[in-house]
Amino acid sequence: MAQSRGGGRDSYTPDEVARFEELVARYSRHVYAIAYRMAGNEADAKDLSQEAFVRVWRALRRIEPGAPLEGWLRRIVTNLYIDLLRRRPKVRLESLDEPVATDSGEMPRERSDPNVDVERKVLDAGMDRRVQQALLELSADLRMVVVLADVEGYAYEEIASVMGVPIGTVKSRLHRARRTMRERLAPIRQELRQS
Amino acid sequence: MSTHRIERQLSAYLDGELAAEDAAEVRAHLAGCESCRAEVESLRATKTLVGRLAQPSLPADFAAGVWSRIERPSPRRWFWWPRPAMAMAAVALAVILVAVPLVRGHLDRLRAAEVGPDLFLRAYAPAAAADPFVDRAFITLVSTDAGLRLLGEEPRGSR
Repeated sequence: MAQSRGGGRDSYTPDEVARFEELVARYSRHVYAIAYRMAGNEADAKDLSQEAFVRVWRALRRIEPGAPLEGWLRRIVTNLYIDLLRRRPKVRLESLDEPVATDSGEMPRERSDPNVDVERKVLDAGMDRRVQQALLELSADLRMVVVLADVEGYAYEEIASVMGVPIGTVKSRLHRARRTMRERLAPIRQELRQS
Repeated sequence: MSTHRIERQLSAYLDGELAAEDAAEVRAHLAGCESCRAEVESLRATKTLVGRLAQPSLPADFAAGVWSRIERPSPRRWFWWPRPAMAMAAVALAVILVAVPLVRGHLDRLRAAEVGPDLFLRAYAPAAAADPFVDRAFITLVSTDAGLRLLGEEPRGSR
C-alpha cells in the first residue's frame, strides 16, 4: 500500500512504469490544454496537469489497463484548479506575456457540434490571446463551463459530472457565460467579419 | 414557454441539449421571432469563436516534470500515516483526556474524606479552579455539601 503513494519509479514493475509512460504520452496534451485554458498561463497549467498525472501514478494499480481515463483526468484537473483558486483566490488574471504557443491547427479537435466545423480553423496568435483574456475575465465557475463545453466540446451531462453540479446549473452558467463572452468578443467578431 | 423562458433555453438549443419537445417549441418560436433568431446567431458566433482557440502545444519537458514530481518526497508526509496509526493516536488522546480528570477526581475525593469537606474546600478548591484537569463536578458537589452543612442541613447521601 505504502508504495502506491508517493513512491518513486522503483515502486512499480518495469511493465507498469511503461504503462504509465504510455498514459502520459496519450493524455498529456489534452489534460494540459484544459488546464491551460482554465488557468491562462503556462506555469499553472503545467503545475495542474503534471499533478493530475502524479495522482494517476499513485492510483496506477487500481486502474484497469485499457480503461478510458479522459473523464477521470478531466475531473482531477478541474478539481485541482478549484483547489488552486481556493489557495490563491487572486490567480493571475492578466493574459500571457507571450502569445500562446500552439500547434497551429495541425491537431483538429473533435467537436460535438457540426456547426462548428465550418469555421474550425484556429485563430491567429493575437486573436487567440484576446479570446483567452476574455475567458480569464469570467468568474472561475463560468470559465470552467465554457472551457469544457466550447473549447473541449463536452456534453452538458459530462460537464455536470466533472464539476459536481446539476445539469440545469451547467445550462444556466453556460448561457450566462456565453452572453458575457458575446459582449466582450463583439469587437473581435467585427474584425473577423471584415477580414 | 414564455419568451423570457425561450431566451434562456437558446444556448442549450444551439448545443442540441434540449429535450425533443422543448427544442420543437424553441424552433417554432424562432420561426416567428426575429430578435430571438438574432440572439441564437450571436451566441453561435461566440461559441464558434471560442471553439477556434488553438490547442496549446505541450511543453517539451512535460513528462520529465511529471517524473520529477513523482520522485520528489512529499512535504506533507505525516498526513499519509497509515490509518491504524492515526486511529491509535486518536484513541490514546481520548483515553488521556478521560483518565486524567478521573484519577485526579478520585485523589481529590480521598483527600476530601481525609481532611473534611470544609477544610478541603478552603485549602484546595481555589487552586483547583485554575486547573483544567480537575473534576469540577466533584468540587461543586463538595462545596454544595459544605454550604448545606453551614445552613444546618444534612449533606446528601449522609442519611
